[in-house]
Amino acid sequence: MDNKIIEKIKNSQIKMKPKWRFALKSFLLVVLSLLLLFLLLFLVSFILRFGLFISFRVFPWMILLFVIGFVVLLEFLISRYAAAYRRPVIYSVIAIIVIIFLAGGVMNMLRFHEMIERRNLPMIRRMYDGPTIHPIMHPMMQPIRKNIKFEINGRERL
Amino acid sequence: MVTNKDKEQKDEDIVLGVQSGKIDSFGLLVQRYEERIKRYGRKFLAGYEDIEDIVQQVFLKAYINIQSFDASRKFSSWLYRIAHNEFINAIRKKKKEPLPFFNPDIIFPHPLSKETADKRVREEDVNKIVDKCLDKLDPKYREIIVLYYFEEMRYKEIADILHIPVSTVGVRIKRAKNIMNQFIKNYG
Repeated sequence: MDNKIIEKIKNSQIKMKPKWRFALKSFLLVVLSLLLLFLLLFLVSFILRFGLFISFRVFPWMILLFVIGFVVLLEFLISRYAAAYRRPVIYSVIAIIVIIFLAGGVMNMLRFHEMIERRNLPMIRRMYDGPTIHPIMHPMMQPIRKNIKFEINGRERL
Repeated sequence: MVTNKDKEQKDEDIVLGVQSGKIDSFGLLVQRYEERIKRYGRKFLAGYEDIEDIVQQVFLKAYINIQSFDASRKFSSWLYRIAHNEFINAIRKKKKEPLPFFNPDIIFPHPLSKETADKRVREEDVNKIVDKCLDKLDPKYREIIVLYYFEEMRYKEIADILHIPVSTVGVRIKRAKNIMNQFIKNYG
C-alpha cells in the first residue's frame, strides 16, 4: 500500500494542502467564536440591564432563541478542542453561561448600553426605544397610552 | 529511500520531515500503521466490502492534511481520528446501520472506573469471546470495544479519537460489556 500511495503522491494525483489554509481556518474559527461571544454578551447584558420584560418587548421571544442558538453554536465551535470534548458537554455549557453572565454584568457596570444608546447607531437604535419608555407606557397603562405620543430627540418613542 | 535511521525515528519526527518536503518518509508511516488501521477497519466495519480502499483513503487524507498536524501531539491519535471519520462516512454511505446524529451520553458526567494494568491483562483473555459478539453491537459500542480490546488504547486516547468525554468512554465500554454478557447468556 505504501508504494501505491507514494506513487500517487509523486504523480501529483494527490497534493498536500498548504499550511496557511489550516492557519486561516483556525483564525476564522477564533474570529467567529469571538464574534458569537460578543453577540451573546450583548444580548445577555441587555437582558441584565433592562430586565426580561423590556427585552421581550424589544425582540419578542426571539432574544431567547438567539441566546440559546448562540450558546449551541459556540459550544459546537469549541467542541473541536481537547479541553472541551474531553469533558461532558454540560461543563462547557455551564462555563459559557457563567462567563457571559459575569462579563455581561461587568459590561453593565461600565455602562456599555448607555454608551451605545448615546451613539444613536441606526442598526440598533430601535432596541433602545423600548427600554427608555416612561412608566406610563407600561402595558397596564395601555388604555391611556393610545392617546399619548412621546417624542425624544425628534424620534417617536414607544 | 527509507534508511535504518528513519526506522528508529519517532512518528512525530517523521511527520515533521514529511511536512518539510521528505515525501518518501510518508511511506514509512504507511508501513507502520497499515496493519493496525486495517485491523481497526475489519473489526469495526465487519461485513462491509472495500475495506482496503477505505484504508487507502485514510492514508491519502492523512497526507493531504498533514500540514494541520501539530507535532507536539500524538500522531497515532491523529491518524486514528481520520480513520474513524472515514469509517463513519462508509457506514453512512452504505446505510446498513443507523447512526445517531447526537449522542446524549456525552452531555452529563459519569463516574469513571479506574483503568489498571492487571485489569487489562485479565480482560485480554476475553478477546475471543468479544470478537464473536462484535457484530451484535451498535456501531458506537462496537468501535469503542475495538479500540479498547484490539487496539489496546487507554481511555484518554479513545476520547481523543472519538472526540467524546473520557467518562463516556468508560460508560460505553461498560454498556457494551453488558450487551455482550446478555448475548452470551442467551446464546451460550
